[in-house]
Amino acid sequence: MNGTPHDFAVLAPAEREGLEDTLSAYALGALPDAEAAAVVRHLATCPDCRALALELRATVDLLPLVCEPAAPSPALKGRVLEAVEDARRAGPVSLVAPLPAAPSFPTAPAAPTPITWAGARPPRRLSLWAVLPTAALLLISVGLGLWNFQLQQEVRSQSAIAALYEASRQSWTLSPTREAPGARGVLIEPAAGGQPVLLVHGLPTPPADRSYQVWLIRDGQPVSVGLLRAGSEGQQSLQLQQALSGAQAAAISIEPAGGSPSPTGPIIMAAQL
Amino acid sequence: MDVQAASDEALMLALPDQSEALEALYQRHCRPALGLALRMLGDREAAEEVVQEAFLALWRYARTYQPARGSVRSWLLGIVHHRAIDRLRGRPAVAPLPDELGPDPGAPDVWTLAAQQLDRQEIQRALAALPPDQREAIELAYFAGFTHQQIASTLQLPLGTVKGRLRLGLGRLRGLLQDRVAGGS
Repeated sequence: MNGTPHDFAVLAPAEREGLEDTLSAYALGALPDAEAAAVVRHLATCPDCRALALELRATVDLLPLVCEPAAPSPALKGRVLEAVEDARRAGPVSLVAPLPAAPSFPTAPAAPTPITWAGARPPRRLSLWAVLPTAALLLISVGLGLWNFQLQQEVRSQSAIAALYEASRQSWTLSPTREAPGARGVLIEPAAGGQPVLLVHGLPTPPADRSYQVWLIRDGQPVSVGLLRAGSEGQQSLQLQQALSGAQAAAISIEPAGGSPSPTGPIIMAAQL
Repeated sequence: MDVQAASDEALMLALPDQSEALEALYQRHCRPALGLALRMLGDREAAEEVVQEAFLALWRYARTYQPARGSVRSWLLGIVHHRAIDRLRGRPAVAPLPDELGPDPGAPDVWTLAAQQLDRQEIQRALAALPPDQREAIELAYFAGFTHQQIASTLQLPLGTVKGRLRLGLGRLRGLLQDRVAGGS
């Protein structure tokens, strides 16, 4: 499954059967994580498959009803109420209205010295789990074209994104340089295929004649992989134009508007891959 | 609010603010939730933990519940299923909800509404009426948490055969249940 929507009206029977195979396994929870993540992304773009998936899910939803109901131990009720009370005390439910007004990427200290194109960058890798919640919310809000769900679907979408993360191969935190000490960024490589995604928060708006350009560095040679798009709330995102394979580093520099064939401006964020 | 008289949907609305709503939903749905968790995990302690996590998730995500997508019970049981699969596959419980399907394209169809009226015996009979190989595939997938690949290697079947059994079994199950709904039995 990929990002191309299907039109069931013109689909060959064998192809439809193949889709139904996949969506049946998906509805039953029987897909490996990476495949499930691919389905999730596909469903976001394909109304016909989504309708079929909903139909299959309606049948699957009946399966638990065949189980003999069982009486919990008397203590369970107290534990449930207590768990909720603890969660309530812990603060407002951040996922209910979660547009990230104030996202907090894991803090990456500003590099002590300006990073230049020739300079070495300190490796900085955080666990995927550490960046998950904010990045997931951010991913929703920047709208990569995959997640055009309504606000009330956010948690569902987040679940979808969580599935992507679950299946993601790796992620890297970008360290800001002195040029933009408040900026935070994360680069995510999905395992289930698809392009890497870069999410950045806290970059100052560039002057009208400047753009933020993203580079992958292979064997010391920077290759442009696109310009950062402005998003809401100071967030910016980019679906990289190529896979990370063979790249030793990723960097963002400030360049003339529209981008430059090779980097000319200072690096403002970077990560060693 | 009279929690005893309130519908599940009304309780969901009250859930974030009223602990009585949670208590009432717990009373109504803890037994089927534990039944599913026990069937999947086979261990009472683990099953109760999953039920506890599921009710916490129900509370936490109450505002995202959409009646058009199914009953509160289905939603809760979906969360239980999801959490139990997480355990069976030994992974951290990261995805809070079992549902990524997004907005329902329309009002709930007649089938969905009618299906909510089916009772346990009817669903058991329909499952039992499936060809054994299809039933086995569905049970391994849904209750044992096997992926299709694991089913294929366990049963020593080609992957395509397993996928086909899951598809045919689900389609057949739906057909059988539809007949029961239509037949009014």
